[in-house]
Amino acid sequence: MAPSSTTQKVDAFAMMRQAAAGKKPSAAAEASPPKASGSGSSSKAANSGGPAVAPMFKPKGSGLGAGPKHVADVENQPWVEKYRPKNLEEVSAQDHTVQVLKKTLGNSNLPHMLFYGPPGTGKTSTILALCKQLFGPELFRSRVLELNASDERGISVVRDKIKNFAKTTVTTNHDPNYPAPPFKIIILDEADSMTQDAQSALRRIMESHSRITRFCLICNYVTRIIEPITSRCSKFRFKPLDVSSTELRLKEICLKENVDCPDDALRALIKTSDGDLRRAITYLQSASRLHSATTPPTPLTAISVQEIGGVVPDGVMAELAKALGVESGAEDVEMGEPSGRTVGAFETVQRAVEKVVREGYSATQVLTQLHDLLILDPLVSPRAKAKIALTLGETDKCLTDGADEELQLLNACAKIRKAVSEAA
Amino acid sequence: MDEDTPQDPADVDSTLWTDRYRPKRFTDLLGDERVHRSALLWLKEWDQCVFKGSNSKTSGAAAELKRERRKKRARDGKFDGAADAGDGEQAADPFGRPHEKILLLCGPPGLGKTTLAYVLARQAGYQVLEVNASDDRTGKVVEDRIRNALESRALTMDGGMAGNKPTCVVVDEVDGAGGGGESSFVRTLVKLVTEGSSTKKYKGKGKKDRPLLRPIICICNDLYAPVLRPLRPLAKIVRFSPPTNTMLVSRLKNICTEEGLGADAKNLTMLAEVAEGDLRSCLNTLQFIKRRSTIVDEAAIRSTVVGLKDTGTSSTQVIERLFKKPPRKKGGGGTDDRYVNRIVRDVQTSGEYEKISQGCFENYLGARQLTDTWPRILEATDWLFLYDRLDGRLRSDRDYELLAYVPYAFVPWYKLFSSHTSATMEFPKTDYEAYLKRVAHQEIVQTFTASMPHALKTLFTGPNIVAELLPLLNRIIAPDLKPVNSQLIKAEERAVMLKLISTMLGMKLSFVQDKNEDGQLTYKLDPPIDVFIHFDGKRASDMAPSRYAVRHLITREMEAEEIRRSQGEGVTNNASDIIAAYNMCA
Amino acid sequence: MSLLVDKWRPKTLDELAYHEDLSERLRALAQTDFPHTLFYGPSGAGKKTRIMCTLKELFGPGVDKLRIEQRTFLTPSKRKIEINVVQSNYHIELTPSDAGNWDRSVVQEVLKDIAQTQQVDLNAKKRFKVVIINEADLLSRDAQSALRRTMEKFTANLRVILCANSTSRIIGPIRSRCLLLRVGAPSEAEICKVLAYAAKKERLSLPEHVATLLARISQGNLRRALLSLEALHTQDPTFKTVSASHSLLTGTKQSASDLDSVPRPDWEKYAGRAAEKILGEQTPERLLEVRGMLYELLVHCIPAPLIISTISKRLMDRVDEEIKADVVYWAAFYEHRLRLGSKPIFHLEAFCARIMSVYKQHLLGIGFD
Repeated sequence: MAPSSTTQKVDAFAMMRQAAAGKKPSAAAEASPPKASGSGSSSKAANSGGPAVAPMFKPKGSGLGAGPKHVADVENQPWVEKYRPKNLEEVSAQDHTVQVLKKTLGNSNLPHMLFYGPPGTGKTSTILALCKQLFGPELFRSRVLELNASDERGISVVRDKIKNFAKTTVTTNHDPNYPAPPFKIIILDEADSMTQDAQSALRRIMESHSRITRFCLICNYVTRIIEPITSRCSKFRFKPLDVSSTELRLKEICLKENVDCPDDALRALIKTSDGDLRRAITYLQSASRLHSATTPPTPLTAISVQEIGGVVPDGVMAELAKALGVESGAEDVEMGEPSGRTVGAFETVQRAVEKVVREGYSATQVLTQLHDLLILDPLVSPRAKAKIALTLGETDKCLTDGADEELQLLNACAKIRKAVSEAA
Repeated sequence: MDEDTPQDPADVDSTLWTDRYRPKRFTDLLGDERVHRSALLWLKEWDQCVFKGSNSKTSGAAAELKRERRKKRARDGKFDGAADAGDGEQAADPFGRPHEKILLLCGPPGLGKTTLAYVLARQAGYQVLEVNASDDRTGKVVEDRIRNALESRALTMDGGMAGNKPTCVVVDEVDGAGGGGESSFVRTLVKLVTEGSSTKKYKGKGKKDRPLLRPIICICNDLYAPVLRPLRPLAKIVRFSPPTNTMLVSRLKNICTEEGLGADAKNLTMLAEVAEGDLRSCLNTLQFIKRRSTIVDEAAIRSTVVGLKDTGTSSTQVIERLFKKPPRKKGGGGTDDRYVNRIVRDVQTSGEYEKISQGCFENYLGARQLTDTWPRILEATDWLFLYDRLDGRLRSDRDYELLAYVPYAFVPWYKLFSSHTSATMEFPKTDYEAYLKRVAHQEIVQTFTASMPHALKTLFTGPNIVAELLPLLNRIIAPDLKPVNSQLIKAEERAVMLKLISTMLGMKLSFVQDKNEDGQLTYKLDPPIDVFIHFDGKRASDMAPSRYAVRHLITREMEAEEIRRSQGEGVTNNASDIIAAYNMCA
Repeated sequence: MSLLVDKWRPKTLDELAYHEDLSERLRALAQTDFPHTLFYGPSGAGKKTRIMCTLKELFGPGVDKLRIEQRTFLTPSKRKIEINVVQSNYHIELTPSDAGNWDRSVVQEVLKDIAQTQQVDLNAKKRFKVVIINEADLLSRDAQSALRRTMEKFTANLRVILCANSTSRIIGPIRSRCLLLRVGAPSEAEICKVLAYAAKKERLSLPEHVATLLARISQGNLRRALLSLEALHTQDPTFKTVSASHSLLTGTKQSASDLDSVPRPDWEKYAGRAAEKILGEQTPERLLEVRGMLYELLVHCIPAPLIISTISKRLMDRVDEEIKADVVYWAAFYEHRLRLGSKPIFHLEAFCARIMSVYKQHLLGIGFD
């Protein structure tokens, strides 16, 4: 684990990062629905400090109830679908959850469940695999109802569609190869986007039909599920994937798909995907597409992976950091001004920021990387780091609220520059 | 309601002073006499209709006023305009009614509007039917009660009941009549007034068609309440202003003398100021003091004036009070904690938070500040932000618990900006006007985008149209052309012209002939996207003015080009539009 | 119809003038299977042009046969909304801001519609249809979450191309389902190249310094640079009003008149004048004047955040080094408030008041030293 060894050096800050990251989403949640940007950085913090978590899927065929239409097109299928696990055995890691769920295969007793965790940790995959194993392909359609945010899930749907499905009694004839317990499963994917009203309507249904129906709710933010529902469910937390299991998984896919992925590209892949396996696989597929389309096919490179992941290249970041006065013996950057006019510190920052913004990099991404760069920099004084961390946090909140990226970024950079120069 | 009978001396103490000293005659009225006169004048104009020339009740003075009024009307050229049926005998109206059928008295509470209505009616020889907020006021009630009252005159006259007087309806607190829709109170009232007025003077075609033959007096606090909108054009509007303090004080002095209460002018002035011209509350206070002592002194006043007013306050009043300090009291300790509650209550009773916020915003820069100008202004903007934030949350998330905090966003304005000098408050309207203009401009943009070529539609989305395309497009379609005959035009000008025409046709822009205010012919751009280069009413300075002759020429050429295009189908020249180009590619 | 900005717009990937590596990538992607993509980059960088070129690469010239269809959508509350959608046989284009509050229903319906119908054209090069979503960063959170599963499920018949100014407002699950393609703004030299190309095609002589000036003031927005070129040319066919020694070209300190003497949209100049007013005098009366100007800008449908950033940029050009950081700080501060609130004028004025206060203090500070 390369990143964690660097983390050791600035332990205090790593802890602060975690604390700050933990707070951030809740601050955002108070003002507006939390966006992925907040959770992105928090999951990163958890990843670098937290213990290793096993990966979720193992390869095998397609499957999942996406309808018959896309079966025809196996070659063009996204690898994310292609390598979704088909049974719980294949979900080798995430030991705790898998173990609990495996037991249910034996004794046909399943509680209502609530899966939560950051995106790409295998929540949907796990429940689909479980259902497949419980019912087999025959019964799957009649026993499992999957609803996600792309379906209309207002209160009327809860009252009609879900209730009706919950009410129907189960048939007994089934494939003897599968346990097929006498209940149906309703999967509510992305449940955190259901309205409060719809959620409240749900709780009664959950109770009154619990004999023949089990619910599985899946969400990113458990806080957005109302208390009466969470208390009726067994909660399973899905942690972001650790480096080694992601690596294992990606290597497996590379092997199967004949992708030439050197180590540095793989590391870049893991770093940019931030514990989100779906992202890692998507990036891998995209990158391999790009590189296999050239003639002759070239091995993947770290740069193309970074570009796909929207990561700001190190060179650009270094230039920005230089403009902020962070670099040993930093002098004012010569920006190619034709006249002999001296360029003030602010203007230097202004131009550097403008350049980054014009290149189209997202401000949140720049902030995240600035954070990594500055907080880990041994030459920046702790006092400056504290100020910088505060600035970054404030700016991230503003961006989450939808504020103008260029203004926010410029403000943050001007403040960082000030913090750095004051400490020097 | 009708306190016509003289008071029994025995229970003098038990009556409210406000009732006891309620003016009974026109001359008793306090306040601006011109206001009273104009109201009386209006009522007297009904005499023709109601009393049918039985002029015994028409006082000489009133008749004179009436003549004067007539003269003025003739001067204003309203003489004919008022008469919609050209009846020769009654020039103003077939029934001899005044032009405006309703009298609308408006002004802040406690100035004697209701009293005036009663006094006037009595003076002019009517009996009063009052309908106020305590009554059920649906459209049905107006229909039944008022119509019955107004039309029952024949019965009461002949039957010898109720003092033989015709009825005058007084609708109190008419701005509180809520509800919209066809059957609302105000609407029915309007219907009552308007219907039948254009019918011939023959009556008895059935109840519904009967015209209104009795005066109606409406009383309101806020003239611009939205419910009153249909009523305003029909009504004669009389505005009340508070009586001057001297008048008020002299009246209070008289009353005090009569009641045996010792009071000097200074203390009474203070009382009048605290009450803000509200005579009713002054009297209540005095009566209260009388119960405990025989002398009105400062302490007595101060101990009783707390929480004087609790009437519904209009947003305008609230704004005024935020910016105007009540008269100073000596050793004004304790006022600080009081103004918070007072303002919160004011704001809550008015309930019109948005209007108040606008009022604050539009007036705070004009408020007099002696020191700390910028800190004050900046603090004020912070409070506006608080209001805006609360308001936003209320609207989007329906967090109604937050409603309780909204009034506190206005409290600091008092501390920051109030002064003793009475500045004239602007009724907040700038924002609404700006809103209307913006909507109009948005419509122009929409019209323009709807007919924009596909390719541009995919190129310019959202604000880019206004921020980038329109200002520059305006320049592109305004080359510097000389107004010459199209035959004599030079080659390069011809090229410029052709390009312009194809651009304008492609954008579905055209010039339409119109007349300006002076009656001169002009060509206007349609849709008028040139508003986007007009700021502060001025056209951008770097562009050559587009002359009539040039636009005329362009229009003619455009028409010719269009005909050419419609004839030469399939033949696409250089200046063809983009769809054609796409088809060619295909 | 022949606006310069559209007339010489590249129609194929080969014609694109800059970002060759990106074009190369797109070409490669079009050869294989095409993933869901998210094009992002600043306004006027050429995202849309690249998308259209990619479509051409995918489907051939058929994508140029555009038609507009009026479609009616039924919202959950049974309200009917009508939206004009631009489409060809191979793709359909959505702009969520047209749908207002109902973007979720519209997006959902369009996607499901397409996902459930097979490509009718048997000669089509690809089996799928493409849905382009413009201004994807303005999609409501709701609509974005509606997108995420659909994108995953219906990969056989459907590809989504999102077009956004920034990825910050795109929710994580969508970002992780898309191939992110960044389209950076063209450099000044690249813009000059394109301007020169267009000028050559139009047979007009464009002096180099004019091209450079236009490129500089367009701030990386090529679309705007081309529009400005045409506007300037119409008003001043020989470009005699643009001096080669303009301060923007020489890099000397810019005066107010210099900043106004370049072809900018009128509202921008007007905002610049408001900024000058702020610096000219710091009194409540002057603030009242500025308020009138702010209203005037709002009335002209200029979005409030744009007003703040335009005014603050102008201020930054004009004030002393020491308070530049303050200007940015307050601009960012009030722009954030603007987003939180619903009454733009309050916050615009608050910003101007703050700057007046800061500037006045700054002036006084200098006076005392």
